[in-house]
Amino acid sequence: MCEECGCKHPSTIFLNNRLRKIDLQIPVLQANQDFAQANRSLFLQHKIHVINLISSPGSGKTTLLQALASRLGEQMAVIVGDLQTDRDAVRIRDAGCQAIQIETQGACHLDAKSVGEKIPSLDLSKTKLLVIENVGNLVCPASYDLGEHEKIALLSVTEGDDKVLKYPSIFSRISTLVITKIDLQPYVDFDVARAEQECKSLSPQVKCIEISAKSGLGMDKLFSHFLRQ
Amino acid sequence: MHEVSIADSILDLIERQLGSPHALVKVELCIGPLSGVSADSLEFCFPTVALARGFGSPALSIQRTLVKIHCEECLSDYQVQDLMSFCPHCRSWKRTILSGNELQLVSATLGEEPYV
Repeated sequence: MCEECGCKHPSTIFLNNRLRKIDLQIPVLQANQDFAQANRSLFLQHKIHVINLISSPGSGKTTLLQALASRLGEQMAVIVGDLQTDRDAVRIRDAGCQAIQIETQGACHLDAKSVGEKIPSLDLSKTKLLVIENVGNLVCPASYDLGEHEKIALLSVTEGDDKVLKYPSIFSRISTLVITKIDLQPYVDFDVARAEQECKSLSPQVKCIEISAKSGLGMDKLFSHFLRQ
Repeated sequence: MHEVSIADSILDLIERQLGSPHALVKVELCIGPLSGVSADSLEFCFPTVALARGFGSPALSIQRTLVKIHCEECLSDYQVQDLMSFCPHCRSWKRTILSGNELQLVSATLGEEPYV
């Protein structure tokens, strides 16, 4: 802020009579942060726990949410982001809970504003858990706070156990790592201990859970973890 | 991957401060390795976005920070470019990340006349 008179304007330094430098010191994503904070206040008001679910495409986000929807029904709601089509929202609705789609039309992540605009379309009166299924991408969604309480990442065994340190910006910001498709582990060289150890080296408190949404293995543990709040 | 929208966000912040687009000479940023933003990609796309939005052709100056880490084994603090390396003092992987997420607009330097 201005050091000359203490006003709230950023301080300006005249480098010469042509150039002036404005000292800003603002987070680049400040506008997104403001929208995220508004979302968070709304979630608090409705007493809803909110998860931002992040993974690469095809790691099993929607299959996991279908299984969750069939158990929780109207206690859960889902906002799902994809570049195009409402296929995922349809799959989750068919499984038994509210789901609305955000088609990003090419954008590689969801932002807090687009999520906030969809919240009024949901009936949150019976909702205890809102899952925001982000666009399948391990890079860009890491930068954007949506107003969630926690970020949870999925990593499927078919992707490889070396992915955690390749994408540290996301794996250092998560509360929980869910290793999916664990029923396929006998057919691939995925070292679960390595993935979990590397994830804990980025985020020491991270909780690791192994599941197969197809066989049901680990799903009870995951459900109680999602609903622990 | 999303650096064009990051460039847009930077110019939005500057425009909000100034009230309208203005010829810029230089924009300073600070970017950390865990920000999820590629400084190289941003340098590539920023001039095009700035010119298209009426901010002229500013130089982009990016201060690239390192990841600051606290070793939970030998309790020393150290800095690294990426997280593939363990503690240089005791080779432990047990660590707490202290910083590295920076994505900050530091300053904007304006030229004399509003850009037309």
